[in-house]
Amino acid sequence: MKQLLPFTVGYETYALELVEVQEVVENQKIYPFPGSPTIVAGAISFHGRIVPVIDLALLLDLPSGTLGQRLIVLVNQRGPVALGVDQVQAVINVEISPATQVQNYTERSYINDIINWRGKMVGLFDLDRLQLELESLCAQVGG
Amino acid sequence: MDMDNFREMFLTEAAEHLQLMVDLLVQLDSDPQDQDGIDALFRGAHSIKGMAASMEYPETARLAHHLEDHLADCRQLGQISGVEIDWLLEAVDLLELLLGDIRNGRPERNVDSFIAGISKQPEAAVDCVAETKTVELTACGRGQLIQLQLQESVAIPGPRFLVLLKKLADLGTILESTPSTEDLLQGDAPNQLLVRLESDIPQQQIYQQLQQYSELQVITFPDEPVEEKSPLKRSPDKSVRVSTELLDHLINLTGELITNRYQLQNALKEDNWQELDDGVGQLARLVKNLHHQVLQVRMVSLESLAGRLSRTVHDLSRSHDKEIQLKLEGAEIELDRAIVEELTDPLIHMVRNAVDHGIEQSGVISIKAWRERDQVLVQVADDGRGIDPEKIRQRALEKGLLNPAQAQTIRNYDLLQLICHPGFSTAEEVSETSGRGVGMDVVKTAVERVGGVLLIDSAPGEGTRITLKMPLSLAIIRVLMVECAGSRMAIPITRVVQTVEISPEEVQSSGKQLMVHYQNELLPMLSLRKMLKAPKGAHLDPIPLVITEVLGRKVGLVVDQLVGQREVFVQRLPSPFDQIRGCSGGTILGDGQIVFLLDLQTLFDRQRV
Repeated sequence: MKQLLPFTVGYETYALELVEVQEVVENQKIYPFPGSPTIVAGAISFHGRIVPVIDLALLLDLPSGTLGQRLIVLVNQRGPVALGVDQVQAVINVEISPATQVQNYTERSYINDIINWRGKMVGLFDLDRLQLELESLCAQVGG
Repeated sequence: MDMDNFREMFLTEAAEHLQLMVDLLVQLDSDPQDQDGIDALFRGAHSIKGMAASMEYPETARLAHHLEDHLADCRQLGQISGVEIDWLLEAVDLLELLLGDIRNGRPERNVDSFIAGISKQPEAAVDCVAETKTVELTACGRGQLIQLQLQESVAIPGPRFLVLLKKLADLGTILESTPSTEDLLQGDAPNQLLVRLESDIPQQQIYQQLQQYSELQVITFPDEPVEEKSPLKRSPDKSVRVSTELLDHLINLTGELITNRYQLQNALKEDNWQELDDGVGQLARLVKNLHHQVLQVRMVSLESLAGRLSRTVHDLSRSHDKEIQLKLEGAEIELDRAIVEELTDPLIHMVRNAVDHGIEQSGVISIKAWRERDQVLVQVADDGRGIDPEKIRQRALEKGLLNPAQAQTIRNYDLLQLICHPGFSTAEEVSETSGRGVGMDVVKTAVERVGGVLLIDSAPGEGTRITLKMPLSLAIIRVLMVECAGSRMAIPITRVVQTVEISPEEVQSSGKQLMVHYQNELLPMLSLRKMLKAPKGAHLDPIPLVITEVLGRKVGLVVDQLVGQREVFVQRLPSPFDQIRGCSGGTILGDGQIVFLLDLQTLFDRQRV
């Protein structure tokens, strides 16, 4: 049984494991930073730390104009880094089994599984893969 | 206190003793009859033996005991010979390896062969690749890497390489090779061979010997492979020694802060504005003081590097058969621990360069440190042959770093800075033609990573001086705040030559490039907006300019507005965002606003690509 935090980006629903989430913050001013790749919207000041914000809509190539409405700050081991999403929904408990699994691979490496949760397709993020993706994006603008 | 804590203490203390012993040995080399020195050496070995025995590290204790015996003899003789010093230095190296074993929780390596007089331990050198940083420096210094590449026309490279390996074995001891002899015998046929050779024969002669093999296309002596490490990542188990005096200061300050808190609480309760104002003033003073004291804890003097450097010079002058004197000045200057750590490798590299290419037969290398306002300057100078700007000019032309017009007009001083350009120094022949350059880009990168600047000054026959300008402390730096495209940004003040405001009439154009006169120089003007890919701004009058220096060349950076100077506490961005070029960190101001620190060097680099 896994505890997931579902959230929406555009018209799609994704989810993260709750243990990966440190806090959800809203209405933060995002400061753009020089030289960053476009999917990095900037950074917020979070408990005295500078935390970069990933624009998930841009990363996933989805329309969205509400960046900054909800930011999911991941645990410190993940950077920390914050993911900008549209809406955050109530935590769900899911047993991941072949019955709920719709597809176990996607064209995006950092989407691990797509599960069917009460008739809704939910993409599960693989944060290790996402980290790799970010590393290569940052290295690109770096190198 | 558990065993781990004891082990940590043992390792720290033993490492300090070893460091001291290296210092002493190098000193004794020039004054072999120094009784106090020999006595101190003896005490060092004795202490390590005692500690290791009580911690039950038998091999370490046995080797230390062996050293102690040896030194007892020296003590009776009243002097110590050069051969013995070299032997003792090797023993100290081995002790360091043993400490490395203990630190990493491995069983101690056996010291039988060393004690029996076979001092060369090939496995030590192979092993050290995986060792921690400190061990790596002492042990990887052993031997020399040689890289060989055959011509493409060679049909059967495997057997050719076997012949070459055999030849190299005649010249010295092969500590390791990739691929190994076994692999080659089994038919592994690569197109290159990497050998670590320990030899008394100078590099030049090895090169000549190898040149006789016409099928060899490339013979190079690469530097030690630098381990890929993320900037400023520190090993976690570092401890700091704090003097009790400093600790008392901190405790007193904490006491005063508590009193201050009650003062403020009272004033608030009584609505006493005067008292509140006094209290806040007091608080400001205390916090400033506290900040200063806490920074003190992080400060270490350059003295900690002195031993390592003397050792490098000692070893190099032996192996190159040159007479070199090392002069140290201002070693008592203190810098942030992280900066000193980051400086270690570059300094050793520069000393190595000076020995390899600067000094011909005998000479002096002087390392001087001094303070200038909130910067520390470290200068490595030699009185060797210096660098010929003409050769650099040619080289830069060949490499396309300068176009012919630039090559005509560039000043000699600016030319010299080019040896730090990565494209310049990767070419191996540079060490032959210009006399310097191998790895200077690595040095420069390390210096810039901690916010420093590197300057080179040299003339043929007048030696070479390389000056590093470093900030005193990493965390808190003085910055110039500017406004650009609606964001506030900061530039480290060490990077700023001057700020000026010019009227649009002063701008001239040369082709596409806008230029401006500044102190009899014509400087190119660059727009920060353009560099950050921000939309064009409104017409500015006057135009605010930040004069800054990039690769030894001054440029005028156009910003929207100059805001002012202030001290900020810099945070690095979390990985992998710290890889992004153009931004070296950020700071959160009192009002929660984030201001990013511009890394102009990498921003310019990016612009050029």
